[in-house]
Amino acid sequence: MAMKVKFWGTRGSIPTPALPLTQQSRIRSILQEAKPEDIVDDDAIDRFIGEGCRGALPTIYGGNTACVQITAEDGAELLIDFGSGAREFAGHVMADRGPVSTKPFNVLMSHLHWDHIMGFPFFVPAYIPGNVLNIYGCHDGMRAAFERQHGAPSFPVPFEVLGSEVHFHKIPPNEPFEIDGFEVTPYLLHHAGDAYAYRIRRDGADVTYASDGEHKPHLIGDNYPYIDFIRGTNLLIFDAQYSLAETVSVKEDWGHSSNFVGVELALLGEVDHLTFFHHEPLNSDEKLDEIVAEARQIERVMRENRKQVQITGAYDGLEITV
Amino acid sequence: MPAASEQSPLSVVQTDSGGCLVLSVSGRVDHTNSASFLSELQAGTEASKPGPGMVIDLSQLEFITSAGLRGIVIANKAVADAGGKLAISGLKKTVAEVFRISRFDTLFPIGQSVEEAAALVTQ
Repeated sequence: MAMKVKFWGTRGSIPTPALPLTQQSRIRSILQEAKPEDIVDDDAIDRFIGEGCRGALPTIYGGNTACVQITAEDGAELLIDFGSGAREFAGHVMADRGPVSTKPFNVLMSHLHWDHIMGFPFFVPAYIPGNVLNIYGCHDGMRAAFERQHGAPSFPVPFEVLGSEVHFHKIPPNEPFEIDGFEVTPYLLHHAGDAYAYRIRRDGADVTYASDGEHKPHLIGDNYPYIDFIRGTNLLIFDAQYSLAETVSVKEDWGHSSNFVGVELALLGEVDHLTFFHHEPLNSDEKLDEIVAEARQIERVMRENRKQVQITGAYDGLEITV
Repeated sequence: MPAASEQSPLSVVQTDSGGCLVLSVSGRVDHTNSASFLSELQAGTEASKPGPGMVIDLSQLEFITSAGLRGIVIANKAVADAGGKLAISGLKKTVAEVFRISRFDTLFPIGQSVEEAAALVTQ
């Protein structure tokens, strides 16, 4: 293992909790599939659940917005984006390491839209003296964006009372930058107000986080600079919020991409593993599974003599090792 | 997906079906030839004026990528701006899958045959 990637939030735009009706439907599906021997004792129940309830359930994608943790073999760690998943991450870290972390929290910001910063006011380590947060990004005005949501009338606690040390670091795009042993290269994406992808290299492996980016179909080809940016990456975390039809019609210039274009780019860039991210809040778990399955189908047709791309859909709690 | 040095085979032929211009596309549309495809579509939309619109027959098309699909959206807008309609005909299995997965099947009327698609344009 060179790096472990853990997804704490994978939803786009706004947190999307499962509704009671969805839960009821799930329980119904499980009960319909269960046989008497599946529930005869706790071990049998655990087996039944562990084996996916005989296919009664789709993948449960979860509803937190963007937050991804990358951990190297030596324990060095990067967090990407402060979506609502950052609250879950904070709870996990505090339970594991106690209230004060002996190492700083190093966080990369893709951009400053609300769904990518909304977890910060609930990131408890930020309130505790002794913690240090280094927040990196390519945008001007990072501090102002965090302060704006962290105080009246949006939030009861002003930014100034945070007990931790919070440092903002502006980094230049297109140049490798080192953070705690990770080599990080930012890349500008087409998105309202700009967003930045990050290619992160460590110990011979690399991960590319590329959320919130639209790719114009007529630009896609071997000479599209993005192809060089992602070329050969072990894992491409890719925004597939909309369908291709939406991105070239009613949602053109909304700054997001599709499963179809993700497959095209991953094939051209010889990516090992493409995982979809920033899921559309309107899409059910069943729909997201369908989007992944259809992408695998189109990859088989489109691949020809290129290297096969593994395709998955990221969900809250997923861990991938590269 | 072929390398950039190779250009995928593509042919676009203009015909007429009951007063409706038909563009018959054969071969494959991908990133190596999508600019040529767009030029052919533009020529077709010009040739369709003044008229009820245009049918793009894809019964001989092997595959189409996002760049080609975008070209059809642009052609549709040009035809609509001139007061016409655009319909698609003859999707073979693989291209039908592309239309379904990309959700392009929700953007255009689709006929089984050229005649059926022409009727969707002229009615």
